[in-house]
Amino acid sequence: MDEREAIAAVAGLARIDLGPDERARISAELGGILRHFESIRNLPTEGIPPLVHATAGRDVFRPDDPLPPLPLEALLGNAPERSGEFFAVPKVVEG
Amino acid sequence: MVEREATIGLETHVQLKTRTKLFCGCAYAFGAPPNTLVCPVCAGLPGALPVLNRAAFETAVRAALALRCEIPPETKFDRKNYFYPDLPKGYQISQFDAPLSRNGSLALADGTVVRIRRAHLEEDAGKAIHDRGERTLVDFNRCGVPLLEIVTEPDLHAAADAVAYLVLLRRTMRYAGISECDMEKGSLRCDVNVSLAPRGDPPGTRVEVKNLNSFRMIGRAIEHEIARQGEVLDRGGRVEQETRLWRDGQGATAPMRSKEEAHDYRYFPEPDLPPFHAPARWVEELRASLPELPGERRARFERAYGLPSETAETLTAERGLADYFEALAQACGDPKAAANWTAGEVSRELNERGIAIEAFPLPAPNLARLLALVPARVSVGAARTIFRELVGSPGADPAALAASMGLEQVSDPAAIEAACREAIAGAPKAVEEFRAGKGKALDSLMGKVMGATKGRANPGLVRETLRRLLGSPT
Repeated sequence: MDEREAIAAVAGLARIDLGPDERARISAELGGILRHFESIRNLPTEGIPPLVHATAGRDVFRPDDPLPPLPLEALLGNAPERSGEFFAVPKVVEG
Repeated sequence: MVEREATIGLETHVQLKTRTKLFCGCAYAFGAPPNTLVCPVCAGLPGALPVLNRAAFETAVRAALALRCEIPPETKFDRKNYFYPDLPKGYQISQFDAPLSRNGSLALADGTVVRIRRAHLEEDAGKAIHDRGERTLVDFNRCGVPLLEIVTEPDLHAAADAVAYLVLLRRTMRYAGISECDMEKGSLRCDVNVSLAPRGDPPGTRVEVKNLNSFRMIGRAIEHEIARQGEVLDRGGRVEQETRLWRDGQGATAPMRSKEEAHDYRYFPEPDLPPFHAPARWVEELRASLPELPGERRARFERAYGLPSETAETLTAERGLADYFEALAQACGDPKAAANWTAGEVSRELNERGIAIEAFPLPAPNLARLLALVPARVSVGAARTIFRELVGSPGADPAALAASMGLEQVSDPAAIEAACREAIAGAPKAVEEFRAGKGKALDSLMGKVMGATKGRANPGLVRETLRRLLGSPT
């Protein structure tokens, strides 16, 4: 897959509609980012365990205690469209 | 024609029995009014952050241990990215390359060992409703509910084995208190992978089948898919790698419309959650907290009580039923009778009342007192009648009930002889047949005596008396 196809594929996955100008600009920006990663890839990392997370934290848990949910009106207040107690979206046909 | 073998793998999701969701404090209840169990975290509102529910992690590890999985010392979460209206964040928090468990197994009753590839934690999606008007309606209540995804190796080769695996998986999860595993309420869901290839060859192209809402559907869908793929191959065609949906009304699978790119999930580590550790000591504590599991218990019932495997299977279907049987066997000292009563009368009563054994009013020790009367003081038939009465008044004394219901066995030789003489006088044909060597004729005479005594006569004594009166050695 060349760079243009890759950008089209990722844009498709992300549901982002890119015009020709945007594609050109993003192609240049992504190229720069990828070149930067290439230079990082050349660093000697042998014997260093892979980093899973950017912070040193681990095992952060929450007790299994219920908290109040959002009131229905507050939740649906953010919806572009609702139908009764439901969020309403364009018809999605399964199958 | 080449002999082909089907290869079946199963992906099962069980909903963990926790009070709250996986990453937020929302409670979840099946059937709650739509969008009433949702908070900023599970609605995916900007800035809201997930925090792992300790009970969900613990329950997941216990479940994995019940499936004899290895628990790696460290695990992490990943984002699985896709767009669907029931997924408010645009990604599902799941586990990709460092699941909390791997390499388990479940041994079926016939000795088949099904290997478990992995079991991992993930959050559920919401519910999209497509069949109400012009729009798709979305309910986020189920978003973030903790699921354990259990993936088998492709070790199964027949629909019946796949169903047997699921039955045992469900039992195991219920015994260990992991999940209710109620398919009707969606707390157990299963997708199957089926492929077909000439025996001895590597497995063929995998077809995934979804939309399976009962064990019956799963069995039928696998059988259908094996037949369908066989027909495609017979025609010289090629099986497409695809996802198909089971259409129960048609008894067939149909291709699911989906773009190839739909499977490009672009997994990456979930930056909002740190890694999690499973210290060996903690894992051993959880392992020790597991009860005896249904597979082991079935084997022990066969071995220790000498029960036939089918009876052992029935008795271990539910942990409570198995407990009841063991309490009854201990109290009455007769494991065979205890097994027959638990699998028979008790189970029938539970079915009729639509209740679980936990809600059964009659304690095992009092049923044992009834069984102690059989056969010397009451017949098996009379005991069944008394049993039904006893369930209604579980504190009553079985012996007193037998007396008050007039069901105590008649063992008085004079009374029995009188009844036998009457039966013989009234059935000359049966007598003639018996004397002519037809042993079965005795049964009809027995029937008459039992009828005349309303089933109360001691059957051994009746048989003995009839033979004596008819001049045949006992």
